Amino acid sequence: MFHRPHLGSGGLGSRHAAGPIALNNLPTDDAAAGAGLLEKPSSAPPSDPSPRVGVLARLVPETVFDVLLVALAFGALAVWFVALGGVRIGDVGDLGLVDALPAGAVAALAALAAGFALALARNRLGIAVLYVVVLVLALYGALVPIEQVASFNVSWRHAGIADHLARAGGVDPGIDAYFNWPGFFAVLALAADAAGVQDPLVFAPWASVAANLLYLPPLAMIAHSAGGDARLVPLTLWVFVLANWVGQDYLSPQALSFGLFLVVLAVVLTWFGGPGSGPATRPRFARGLRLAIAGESATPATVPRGGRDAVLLVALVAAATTVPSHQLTPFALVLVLALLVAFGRTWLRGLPLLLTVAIAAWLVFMTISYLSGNIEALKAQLGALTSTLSSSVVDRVGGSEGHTLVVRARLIFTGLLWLAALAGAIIRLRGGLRTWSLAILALAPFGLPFLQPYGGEIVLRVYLFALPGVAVLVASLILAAAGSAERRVAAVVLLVTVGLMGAFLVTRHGNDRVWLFSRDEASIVDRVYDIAAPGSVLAAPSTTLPWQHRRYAELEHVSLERLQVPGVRGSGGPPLARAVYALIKRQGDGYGYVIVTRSLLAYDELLGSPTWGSVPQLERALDGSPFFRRLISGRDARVWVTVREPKPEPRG
Amino acid sequence: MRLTTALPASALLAVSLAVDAMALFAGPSAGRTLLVAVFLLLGPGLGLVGLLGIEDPWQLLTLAFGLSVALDTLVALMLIYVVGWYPGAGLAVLLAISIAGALAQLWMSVGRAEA
Repeated sequence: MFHRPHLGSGGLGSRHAAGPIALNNLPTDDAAAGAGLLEKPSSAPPSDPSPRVGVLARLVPETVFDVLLVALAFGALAVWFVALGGVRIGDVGDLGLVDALPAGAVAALAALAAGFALALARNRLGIAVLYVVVLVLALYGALVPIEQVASFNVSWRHAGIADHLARAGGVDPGIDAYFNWPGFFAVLALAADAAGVQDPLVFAPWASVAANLLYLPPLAMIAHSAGGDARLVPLTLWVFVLANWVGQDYLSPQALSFGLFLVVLAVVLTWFGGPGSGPATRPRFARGLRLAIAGESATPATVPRGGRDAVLLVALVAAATTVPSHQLTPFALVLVLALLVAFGRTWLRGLPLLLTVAIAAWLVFMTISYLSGNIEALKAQLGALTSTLSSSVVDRVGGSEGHTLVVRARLIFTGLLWLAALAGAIIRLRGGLRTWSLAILALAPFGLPFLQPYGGEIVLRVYLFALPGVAVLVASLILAAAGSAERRVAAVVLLVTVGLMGAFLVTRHGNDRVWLFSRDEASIVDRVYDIAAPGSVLAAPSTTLPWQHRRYAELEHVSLERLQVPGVRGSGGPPLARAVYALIKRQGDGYGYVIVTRSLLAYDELLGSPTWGSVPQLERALDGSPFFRRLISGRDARVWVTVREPKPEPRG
Repeated sequence: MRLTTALPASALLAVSLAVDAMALFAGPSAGRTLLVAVFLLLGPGLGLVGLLGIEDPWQLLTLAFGLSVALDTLVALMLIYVVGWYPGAGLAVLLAISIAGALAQLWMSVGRAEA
């Protein structure tokens, strides 16, 4: 799998399993300087940053040690999934998965932490990468053994959009914003057809695992482009996997687009980063293209054997693919690329310009009807930085004690991680290592709130887009703290990993109680889709239920979250039922169905009730109202339907 | 034959042909879903990027992933905006790219070995 290093990296990494990714394509000076400055092993050869051999190394032969490490990784994975197989949805509490984590699962995580620390300490970088892969499978596939049906309501919605595209055979941009950036949904519909399934939801359970595995190669390239210690690559991947708590890697356009974002940056930083000496020859067919994008004075540092032009083309099409697929990612990419250009970190001067033109062209030619129909709402959002930030952070603090703890843990963890990245940047700068490209990667996304409010989610997106740069900087800090002695490296990495793992379980899986759906609630919601006539209205206290996966545009889906009930604050009763009825009637003439599920109750308990009251109050109001009659009563879900000609309400 | 080129190319060819065969003859299954996902995320790109002779696995996977998603998206958007929704035809185009690329890589690896 791995190959001998080349291009002047000499002995660097030649004994490492991760040879070329560790140091190939690095100019000799940078590689040597990097290894020396970060590790400071005064006399030891840079290829061996562990000159002091530990007790384990003396006692256990290397091959046996390697086999044991690999076996430990797979054993821990097996124990993890077996242990989680015994968890029931009802076991997951306000702290999320942490509340239900069996001892076996904790032991499996401890084994993974120890195995990775040992692999890194003894420079088994290939095995360290294997641990990263196993960690992705474990942490991002954690809900798979617990799920009865696919989790997370937005995955269901995205499946419904792809389903609608396939059934309609085209795009109606008037439906909503999703249909103006349909790239991902078209691919999802194509994939479902290729898999021979009706429901694209089949891809949802493992989507996070797939996404995070696909993020690893470009991340490794980004870390590698930073130069320095060869251990930086697996450690960066490790930090990224443990810090990616924002949960944007589900079955979604942003998950795939973020992968493309990483691909573009990996290519730019690896093959087009900074000044160097130009290639000796240029193929004629690509000269015009390169001149247009890079300019005549382009001076690449190294030339891949496969041809820089082909690589540039891949970066171009990957960047262009984000434009019809996601509203935000191209803006983030433009920001990062423009700053890389502005600070002389890449010579692809035309790339951000081309991407800007592509974004403008898509907005003008493909989304104009939607944008013109929603211009007032968009204008109200654009530039509303204060409300954007407050809705992203402040509004989310509330609800149950457990949920409040989760939210605070996220805020504290984010702050600490960014501080660690700052410290890592300072240490890299003082060590004379390449830092500015990473700093730009980490800082540029902070400009996004000025460009795109993106609802209340923008801070989460800033965190995600900054994470690649942040992960490399944090990994640099850890390496600087660990030094090169085997035992110290193992201890520091183990300590940091335990902290990151604990934080990840709370920050990432803190909302699992809301996102997990039971088979009962999913089947009851499905029954509504079976019986509802076209034009019917489906209403629910919030959107956290398994719906919108079918008949996406044929039925109206209404959340009661922002329902205004004059004069009523948390008292429910007839005014609440009347207000719900009126809202349904405003949406359409058909029947209205109000759905209440276990997950909606959990959402209510975790995040607090809306101003009009709690979900149980709504249930009581609907039961007592002449406007509704109860249609379905299940263990985990109940459905009410509007009455065509309601009797007069009883007085009093 | 160079193993570093021939092995990924053979794997790509096998996966592409399996997806093709399943699309024609098999019903839905977890195995088919997994194979389709792997193919769409890496296959078409690997067919073309494999021709560049890049040996570093990180670089190869990065480029293959980026190009695959780009080609998938291009084909899918062409279907919904221009051609009409014929997903079978879209899959056939992507399979053709992968299989042609894999065969070209195998042919090149034989040529290199003989040289």
